[in-house]
Amino acid sequence: MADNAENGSPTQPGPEMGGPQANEHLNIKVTDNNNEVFFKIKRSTKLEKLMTAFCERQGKTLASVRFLFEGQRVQPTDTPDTLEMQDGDTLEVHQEQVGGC
Amino acid sequence: MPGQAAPTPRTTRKSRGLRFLTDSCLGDSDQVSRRRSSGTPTRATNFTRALSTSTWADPGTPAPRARLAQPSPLSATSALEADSEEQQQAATPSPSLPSVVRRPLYPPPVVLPPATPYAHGPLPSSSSPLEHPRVTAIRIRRRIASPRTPSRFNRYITKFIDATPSISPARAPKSPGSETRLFKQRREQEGEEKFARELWILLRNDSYMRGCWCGPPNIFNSRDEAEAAVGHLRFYLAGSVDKKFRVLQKKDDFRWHCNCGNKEYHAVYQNLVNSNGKRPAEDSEIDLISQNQDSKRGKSIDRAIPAPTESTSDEEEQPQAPAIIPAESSKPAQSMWAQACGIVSRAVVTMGSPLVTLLGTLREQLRGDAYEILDSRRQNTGNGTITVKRMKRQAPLPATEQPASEVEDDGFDNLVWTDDPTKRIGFENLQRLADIFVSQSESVKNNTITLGQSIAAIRLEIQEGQDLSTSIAVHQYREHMFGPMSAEDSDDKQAKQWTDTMEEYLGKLGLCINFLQRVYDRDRLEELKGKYATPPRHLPLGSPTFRLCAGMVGRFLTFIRSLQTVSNIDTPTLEAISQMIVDANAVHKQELLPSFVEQKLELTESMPGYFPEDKASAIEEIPADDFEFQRLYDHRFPEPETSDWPSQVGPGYFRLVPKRKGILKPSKEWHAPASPGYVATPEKTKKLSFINPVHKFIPPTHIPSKIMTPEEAARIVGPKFQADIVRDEHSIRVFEATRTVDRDGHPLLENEDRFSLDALERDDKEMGLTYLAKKYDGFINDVQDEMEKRAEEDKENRTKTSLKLTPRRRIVQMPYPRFPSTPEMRQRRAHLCADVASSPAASSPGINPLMSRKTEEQPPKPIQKKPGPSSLEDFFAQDNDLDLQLDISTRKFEQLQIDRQIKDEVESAALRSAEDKRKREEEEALREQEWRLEEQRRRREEERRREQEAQRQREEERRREQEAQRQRDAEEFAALTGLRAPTRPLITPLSSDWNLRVSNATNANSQTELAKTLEGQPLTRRDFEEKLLPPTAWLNDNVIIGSILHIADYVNKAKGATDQEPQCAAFTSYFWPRLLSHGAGGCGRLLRRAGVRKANLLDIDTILIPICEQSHWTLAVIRPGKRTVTHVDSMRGGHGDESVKTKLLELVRFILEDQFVEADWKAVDYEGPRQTNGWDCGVFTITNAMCMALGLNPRFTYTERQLTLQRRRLAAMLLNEGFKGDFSLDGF
Repeated sequence: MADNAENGSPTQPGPEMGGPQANEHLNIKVTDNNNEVFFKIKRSTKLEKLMTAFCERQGKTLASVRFLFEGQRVQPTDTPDTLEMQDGDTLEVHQEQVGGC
Repeated sequence: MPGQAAPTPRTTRKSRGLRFLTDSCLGDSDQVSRRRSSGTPTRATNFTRALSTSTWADPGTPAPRARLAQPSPLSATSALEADSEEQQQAATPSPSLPSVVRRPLYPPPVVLPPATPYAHGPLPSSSSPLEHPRVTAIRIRRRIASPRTPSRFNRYITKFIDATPSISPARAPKSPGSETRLFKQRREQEGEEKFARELWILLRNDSYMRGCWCGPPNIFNSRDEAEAAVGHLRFYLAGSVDKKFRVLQKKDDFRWHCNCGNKEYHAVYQNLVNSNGKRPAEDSEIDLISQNQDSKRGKSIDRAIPAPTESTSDEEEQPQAPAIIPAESSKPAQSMWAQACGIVSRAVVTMGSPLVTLLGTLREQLRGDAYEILDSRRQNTGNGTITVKRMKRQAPLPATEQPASEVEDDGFDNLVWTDDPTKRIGFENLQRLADIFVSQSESVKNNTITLGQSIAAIRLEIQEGQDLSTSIAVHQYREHMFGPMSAEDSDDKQAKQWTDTMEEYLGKLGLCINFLQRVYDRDRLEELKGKYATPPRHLPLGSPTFRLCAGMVGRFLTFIRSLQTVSNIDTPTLEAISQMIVDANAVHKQELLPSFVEQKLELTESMPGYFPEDKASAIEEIPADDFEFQRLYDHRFPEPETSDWPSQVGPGYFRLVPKRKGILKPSKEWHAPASPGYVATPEKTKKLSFINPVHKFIPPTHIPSKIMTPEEAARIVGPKFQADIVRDEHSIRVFEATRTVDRDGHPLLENEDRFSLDALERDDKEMGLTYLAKKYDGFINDVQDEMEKRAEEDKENRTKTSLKLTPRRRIVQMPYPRFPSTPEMRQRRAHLCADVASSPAASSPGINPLMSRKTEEQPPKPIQKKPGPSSLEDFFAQDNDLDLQLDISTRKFEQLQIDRQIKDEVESAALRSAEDKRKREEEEALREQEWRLEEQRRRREEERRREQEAQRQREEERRREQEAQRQRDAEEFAALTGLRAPTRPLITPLSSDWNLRVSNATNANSQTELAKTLEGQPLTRRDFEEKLLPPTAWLNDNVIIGSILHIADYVNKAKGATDQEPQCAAFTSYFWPRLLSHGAGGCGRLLRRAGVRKANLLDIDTILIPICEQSHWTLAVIRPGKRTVTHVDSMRGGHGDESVKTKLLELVRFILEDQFVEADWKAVDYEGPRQTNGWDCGVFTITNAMCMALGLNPRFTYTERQLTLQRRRLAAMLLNEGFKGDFSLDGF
C-alpha cells in the first residue's frame, strides 16, 4: 500500500506518463476485506464497468457501495487514467456510510 | 295382624276411576282370567262333520274353544262383582261395615315384612301381582289433583301468601291431645320411629312423583320448632344427642303438610299411569271409541274412521243407506265433524257408484270381452277392506332356534298359543270354504261343469243342474295353466288341456281340503303346545312334502282369490281365503302360523277408552291384495336389489374418454438454489422434557381445588340431612349423586327422565312407592278427611261465634290489660260517663279536642236509651248490664289511649326542643372554633407566599447574573475563536418554487441523475427520497460530502481563493477512516486533492472533516488561523471526543512538520445545539460545518427544531449544486 502511495504521488508523474500508452492493460485488484477480485482493464475504460461487474458478482447494488482509490471516491465516469492508477493498484470497496444517531 | 292391617273401607269417595283400575290390576290373576274367559258357551260345529274327519274335537266338549271377541258388559260386571265379593269375604271379614261395602276399596291385606320394608323394595311379584307400581303410587296424588274441594285450594293459596306461622299459641295447644285418636293409634301400632320415617317417605314419594316444587315435608330440628311451624303433619327430630325421627299431628291446623295445592300431574307420568300396554284415550279419540265400540276388537284405528266404504255390495248395508243420517245422529258421542264427513263421503259414493259401474262396463266392452260386472266390490278392493294378518317377516334363515337375546325385541315375546286355531279365520268361514271345496270337487268329479270358449259362452250355454261357478273356475284355471284358448288348436289338444286342467284342479282341491283338515286341528295345536312352551319363531309343521303341498295350496288359493274378478265371491269367504293363503305361506316357509298364536291379552284391553300402545308387534296387518305368495326358494334367496342403470350398460355404452389434460399439470421441478450457503435445516431430535417431574405440580389432596359457594353447599346439605335422617335408598342415592356434579355444579343424577319405565321401577324399589302407598294410603286419606271435616266444623263454629262476640273479641285483641279497677279509675270513668250522658256535644275541651271528636262520632243511641246514673252507686249497679259496660269500657279505653298518646306527644315535644337547643349551641361553638382555625391557616399561608416570592426574586436575580456572565463569556469566547452570532437567520423557509423542485425530485425516475456533487458523484432520487428528506431519515455520505464540499466551495469562491490555495478546505468522510487505518502518511493523495500542504496550512481558515463512526456523523474542524482543533458532536451538544482532537493535532503536526509549535495549538470545544433524537446528526453535522466555515457560533445560529426544514433546504441546495443564487451565504 505504501508503494501505491509512493507510486501515486504527484512528484513523479513524468516517467509514468509514457507508461499508459506502453501497456494498454492494467490489472486492478478490487477488495472488500473479504473477497479479492482482479480485473484487467484498459486505461481508458470507465471504471463504471468494473464497478458494476464487481457488484453483480457480489450481489450488491451499486448505490450501496463506495469504491475508493487511496481514500478517494471513485466515480463511475473515472478511468484509470484520470485517477493515475498503476498496474496492480487496489480499489477498496466500502459500504455506504449512513448515520443518524 | 291381618285384622290390624285391614284398611277401613270408606264410602265417601266418589271418584273411583283410578281405584277401580287399581283394584282390577291388583286383583287375582285368576279373577282376570275368569273374567276374560267368561264368554258365550261353546258352539258345536258341523264343519267337522261335513269333512267327516276324526281329528276335530267332539262338538259336545264343554271346553271354551270359541268365544266372543269381547265379553258383554253385563257379564263382565257381574263377574267382577262376584269376584270382588268372594275376595272380600275371604280376605276382609270386617264385622263393622259389612253391609255398606259393596266392593272392597283396597287390595287384600298383605303380611308386611317386619322391618324397613321399603329398603327391600316392593313385595316379590310372585306373591302379589304388583306388576305396575306406578298405578299404586298415584293413589295418594289423586286427592290433591282432583278439584273436589275448592275450599282447600283457597287455603293453599293463603298459605302460600303468608308462610309465617300465624296461629296464635292459644289455638294450638302444645298438649299431645292435639292429635287424633286415629293417628295416635296408628303410631303406637307402628312404633314411633318407623311410623315417622315411613310417613315421611310416603309424603316425599307423593311430592316426588308429582314433580312438585315444594319438595318433601320439612324436618324440624326440635319439637319446639315443629310446634311453632305450620302444617297438619310435622316431622321433627327428638332428643339432643341421638336424634330420633318423630312426627306429630296438629288436629287444629288445617293446612296439609305440603305447600303446593293445585298441581297437575306430570303429563308424561299420566301417560304411563295406565300403561298396561294401553294409554288413556285423548278427548279427540273418545268419539272414535264410541263409534268403534261394537266393532270387532283388535281392529286398527283406521277402521274406526268413517270411510267411504259403506256403500259396498254388502247386502245388509244397502237398504240402510237412506236411513243412515238419523241412525248416526242418534249415536250420542259422535262429533259434528264426523257426521258431516260421513254424509259427504256417503253422498259422493252413492252418486259415483253407477258411474263407476258404467265405466267398468265400458272398459270391459272395449276390451272385447263382455264380462259382466258381477261384483261391484271390486272398486273397493284397493281400499284395504280386506286385511290379513301375517307374521312379521323373519330373516330367511334355516329353521334353527335362535337365542332370544340375539334378536331384538320384535314382539314375538308377546305371543301366546291360541286356544283355537279356527278362531282367527272364523269357524263358519272355514266351514264355508270346506263346503266350497267339497262341492267343487264333486262337481268336477261328476262332470257337471260346462266347458266353453269364454266365460260369456259358458254363461250362455249353462244348463240346468250344471255348476256355473265351478265351470268359470275351471275355465279360468285352464287359462291360468295353458294360456288363452286359441281357435287354431286342434280338438284333441283342447280336450287334453281340459282333461289336464280338471285333473289338476281336482288335485289342488284335494290338497286344500287336506290342508284344512290337518292345519286347523286342535289336537295338532295341543301337540305343539306340549312341544314348545312359547310360540317359536320358526315352526316346521308336518313333513317336507306337506310343506311343499302347502305351497301349492297357497298358490292355488291365490288363484281362487283372483276369481273374484269374474265371479261372485262374498266378502267373508274372500277374507277367509286370504287368511288361509297367509297360513299356507307360513307353513310353506316353516314360519309361525298367525292362526296358531295371538297377542298376549292385556288386562284392560277390553275396557272402553283404551287403545293399544304402539308396541312392537309380531303380527302385522296388511291389505290382502298386497300379500303375495312367495316361493320358498325366492324367500330364502331373494334376488338382490336391481336398479335400471347397470342392466342397461352393455358394451355399446362404453366409450373412450380422452385423458384429461391442461387442468392439472405435473408440477414444475424446482432446482435447489445454487447458493453455497444453502444447507438444509437439520431435523431436531431433541424432545421437550420436564425439568421437574409432573407430579410435583399436582396439588395435594387435602387442599380443596375449588371453594364451594353457599348455593352449592345447600345442594349438598339438604340431601345429606335426609340421607342421615331417613336412611332410605333413594335419599342415599340422591346424596351420593351430589358427589359428582355437572359443569353448573348441579348434582349429576344419572337418569333424568324419571318417568321412564326403568326409572319408575327403580324408584319403586328404592322409595317403596307401592309398598308405602298400599300401607298408608288409606290412613293418610283418613287423616286428611278428618282434617277437612274438622276444618269445616271449625268454619261453621267460627261464623257462629263471630256473630255473637264481635265486641268482646275486639277488646281481647288489644295488647293492653283489662281495665284496672283502682278507685281513681272508676271515678274517672263515672265522671266521663256522666259527661257524655249529659251533653255529648259539649264534652270538656280541657282533655283534648281529639277525644271530643271521638265522642261525637259515637252513635248516641245507647246513651240516650240509658240516661246517666245519678250517683256512683247507681253507676256500679249498672255494671251488670253487659251492653253498657262494654260500651263504656270501649269508650273509656279509647280515652285512656288518647290521653296517653297526648301525654307522650307533649313529653316528646319538650324533649325534642331541649335537644334542638343543645344541638344548636353545640353547632355554634363548633362553627366558631372552625372559623378560628381557618383564620390561623390563612395567616400562615400568606406568610409562606411572601417568603416564596422573595425567594423567587432572589433566584431571578441570580439567573440574570448568570445570564450576563454567560454572555460575557460568550463574547470572550467569540473574541477568542472568531465565532459570532449571525446577523440574520440561517435556516429560512424555502420559496414555493424550490419546494416544488424538491417535490419533483422525489418523484423523479430512480435512474435519473438529479444533481452532481463537486466530487463528480451523481445524486439520484434515492439520495433525496430515502436518505435526506424524510424527517427521520439517516443521511448518507453522498449528501454529507456533497454539502460540505459545497460549503467549502462557497467560502473559497466568496473569498476569492483557489482550490489549491483554499480558505476553507474540506475532506470527504472517507478521509478519516483512511487516516485511522493508514496514518497521515497514507493520506497524501487526499491532502493534495484538498489543497492542504505544509506551505499553506497556516493560511487556511477552516478545514472540515466529516466523520462517520458507528452510524454517527460528527464533524472535525481544524482552524489553523486560530491554531485550534475541535470536534463537534451533536449528541454531546457541541463538545467533542478527545481522541479525535488528539488525532487532529497529530495530523497537523504531520503536515507542518518542523513548523508545528505545540504551544500555539489547542483543542477547544464549542457549544452547540444538542441532538435529542436519533436521526438528525447528519443535518447537525452539515449545519455545524456551515457555521464553522462562516465563523458563526452554532449555538446562536440554529435550533434542533429547524432541522427538518434544513433537510429540505439542503436538498434544494444540492439540486442547486452549491450555495449560490437563492442559497448564497452572503451577509451572515
